[in-house]
Amino acid sequence: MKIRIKYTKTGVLKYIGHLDMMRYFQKLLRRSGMDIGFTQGYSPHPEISIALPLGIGVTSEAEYMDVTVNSCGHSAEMIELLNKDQVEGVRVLSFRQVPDGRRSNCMAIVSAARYQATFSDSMKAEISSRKLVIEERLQDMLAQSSIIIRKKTKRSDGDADIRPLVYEAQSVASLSSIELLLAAGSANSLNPDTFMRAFAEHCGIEPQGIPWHIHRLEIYAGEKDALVPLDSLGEDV
Amino acid sequence: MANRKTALPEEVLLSVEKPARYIGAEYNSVMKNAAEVKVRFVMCFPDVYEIGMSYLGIQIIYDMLNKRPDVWCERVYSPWPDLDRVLREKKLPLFSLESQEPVKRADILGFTLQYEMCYTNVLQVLDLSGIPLRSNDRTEADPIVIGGGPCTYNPEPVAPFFDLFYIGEAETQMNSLVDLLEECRAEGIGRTGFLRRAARIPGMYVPAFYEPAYNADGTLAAFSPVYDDIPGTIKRQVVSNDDISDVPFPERPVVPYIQVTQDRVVLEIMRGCIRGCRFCQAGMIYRPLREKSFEVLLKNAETMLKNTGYDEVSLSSLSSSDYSGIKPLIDGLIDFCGSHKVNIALPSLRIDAFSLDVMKKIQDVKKSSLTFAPEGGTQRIRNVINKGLTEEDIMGGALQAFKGGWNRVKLYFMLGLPTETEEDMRGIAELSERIAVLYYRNMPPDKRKGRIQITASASFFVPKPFTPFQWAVMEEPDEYLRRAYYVKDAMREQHNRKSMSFSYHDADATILEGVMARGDRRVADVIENAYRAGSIFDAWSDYLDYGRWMKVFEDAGVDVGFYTTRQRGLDELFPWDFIDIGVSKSFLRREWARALAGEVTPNCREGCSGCGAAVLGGDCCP
Repeated sequence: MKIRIKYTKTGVLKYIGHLDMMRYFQKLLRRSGMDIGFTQGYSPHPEISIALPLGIGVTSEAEYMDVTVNSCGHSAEMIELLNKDQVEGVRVLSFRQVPDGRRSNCMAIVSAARYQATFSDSMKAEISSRKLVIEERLQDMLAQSSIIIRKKTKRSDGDADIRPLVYEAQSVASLSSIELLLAAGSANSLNPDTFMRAFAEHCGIEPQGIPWHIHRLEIYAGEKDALVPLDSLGEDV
Repeated sequence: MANRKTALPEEVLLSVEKPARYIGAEYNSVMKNAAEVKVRFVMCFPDVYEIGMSYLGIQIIYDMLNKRPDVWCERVYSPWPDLDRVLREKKLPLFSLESQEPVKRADILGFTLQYEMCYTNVLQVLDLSGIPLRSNDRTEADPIVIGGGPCTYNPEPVAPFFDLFYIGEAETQMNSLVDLLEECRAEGIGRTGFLRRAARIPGMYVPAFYEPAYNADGTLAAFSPVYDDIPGTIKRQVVSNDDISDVPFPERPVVPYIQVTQDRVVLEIMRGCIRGCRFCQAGMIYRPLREKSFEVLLKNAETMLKNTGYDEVSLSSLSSSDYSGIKPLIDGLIDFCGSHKVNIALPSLRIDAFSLDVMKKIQDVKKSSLTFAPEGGTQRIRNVINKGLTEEDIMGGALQAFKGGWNRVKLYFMLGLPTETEEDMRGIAELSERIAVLYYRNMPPDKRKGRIQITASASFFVPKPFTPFQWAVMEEPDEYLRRAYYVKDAMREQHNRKSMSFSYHDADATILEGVMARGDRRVADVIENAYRAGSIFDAWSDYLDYGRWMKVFEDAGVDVGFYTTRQRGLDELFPWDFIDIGVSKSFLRREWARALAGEVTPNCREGCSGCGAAVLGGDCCP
């Protein structure tokens, strides 16, 4: 059966990349003694997938991983089992059974993600020295029918409109943070950092150093107007 | 949740390659309260994290010291050149991974010296830590800088940079050294007083207390202690054969987040080697053979796998096929690992019916290759180096393997061996050819799985202290490449050349390694100057600047040839002769003579050749 695990990735774990987190969980699952499902072949490893790879430098309180198990105890017991052996920064929050099959895989169903971007002190100073009101600038930006950014990839150099990918954006705690709901997943996806750079440009600010810290708050599945957190698609065991 | 601090600010960590090298916090890493310990020990492998974390020795010391409530052992590795630059620019001190505090705060900074080309990295770590490079410039504010590992069997080229070397295995005397430091602290005794007392602990060598004298021709005339109460000879300290199974092993090895070179549980099955290959330093300095019991090893493997979650276990030894419990050990491992979906990696197994059968069980034949290390291309040169492997062994093993479905063969050779002739070089190509012919003759086309792939590779031989080849003369720099090209050309002349490939190691490092390996204290200035001129990560061919090194030698007036191409006298006093490894110089001399005569010496199980290490009590010693 397929289990969806929700966990945090905070503190110094922000320096650990996506593939290394996979490796971390493979070892954690082995240590836990859980009855996990393995891939076939000469080097079998636990079958796991992580919903939406988190970039280095970004923290999260809502990461999702699907893992195949042959059997397991109650959700509460399994959360306790996994958390008693954890490094600082990873905490399992929920452990729920989800429907089997590729189409319901956490990687496949992601449609949006919510982030909080918190400005660094130097950015805050920059914003206040220019007497900018973030909420006004945001609304002003979102009122545009399109937000064109230059997209530079190895292969091409072109413009892209990110406006349709921004579902929500509002300031929180006055000057210090912006909360964002952005399209995510394989079809259409907007990196929160890309949005923030576009916003800084809109404000006429050139970001220096590490201008903001991004923290993921939730990952969703479903249509834009009916988003549901990934773990709400499962049941406690 | 406690919020872990990092020594480096976020903008630095996010600007360097692989920040996970510098944050610590790995699973099983040990955190302690600094205020509650008496001695803070920082252990350094002077190379990048991924290399250093793969080394079992540090895991052993880390485990052993951290079991003591009064000691906190932490780790530090060489910052990669990208971070090295930032640390210098921003004047940030190098820090240990666990506490993220400056290395300089440690009471003891221990380096493991696994290869000569890491010497400039030792200076890098000292320098970035704000510790004076030379022992005699250090004060009470600096840690005691100690060294261990195979390179300390000739510590002289780096002697001025160390306060102390420990010649031997950590389990035997490391704890006494830490105890002594605590005693000295309690009595208010400082560095010099501590070192005076430390020099009397067996295996401890304090270079400042020994003085070399040189002959007019530059060779060593005498090497003696400056005080009467310290020994003139340093005796290597080892765990006895009786204790080897009970020696503590790291039950909870630190598990890195990022992929490191040896990313698996490493099971040390024995120490020492019975073979006596004449080029091999490890084969001499780790004598005698001491085997752990397979029952203990199976338990250890299980414990380590459970405590780490690793999906692979590997055997570590100099020649695993010689381990007398290899069959029950492997059967036991296959049993446990099969049911727990853990892979088994078996390096250094001799190819024979048993190992092929095992390999078939544990790995995908299609994806794996056979490895032979004939080291020399002809039987003559293999006799010179005392490599027991014969052509029949290779052909017999290869034929069985072909019938078992293998069609990839790796062959390891050395070039630049003493007495080597063009025939020996050509032998590399001809042996490769004979293996290809063996395949095509014995495998009918319908049974072949494609063309055979033979990959031969050669490294260049560097004479090492405490080997029968310590008297050997090295070649001129250009000669190494000439020999490699010679083999390459010979490969091209073979009928089955399309089935073979040949590669060779970096030749530049060979000369430098040769100088450092058999160097004396006068080489230290060169190493320091090379570091000051910008040399670090010399073990990485991308970073090694051979031209810069040569210029430094020239400027310092140190003659490379004195250390590499000079004919050493049979009775010459060597800079490392003050160390007693157990194996006697007269045995080595005898072996050198037998080598030149092409005579093979039996291995320790076939018969004792009286090397001298029997005093240390080995498994097969009389």
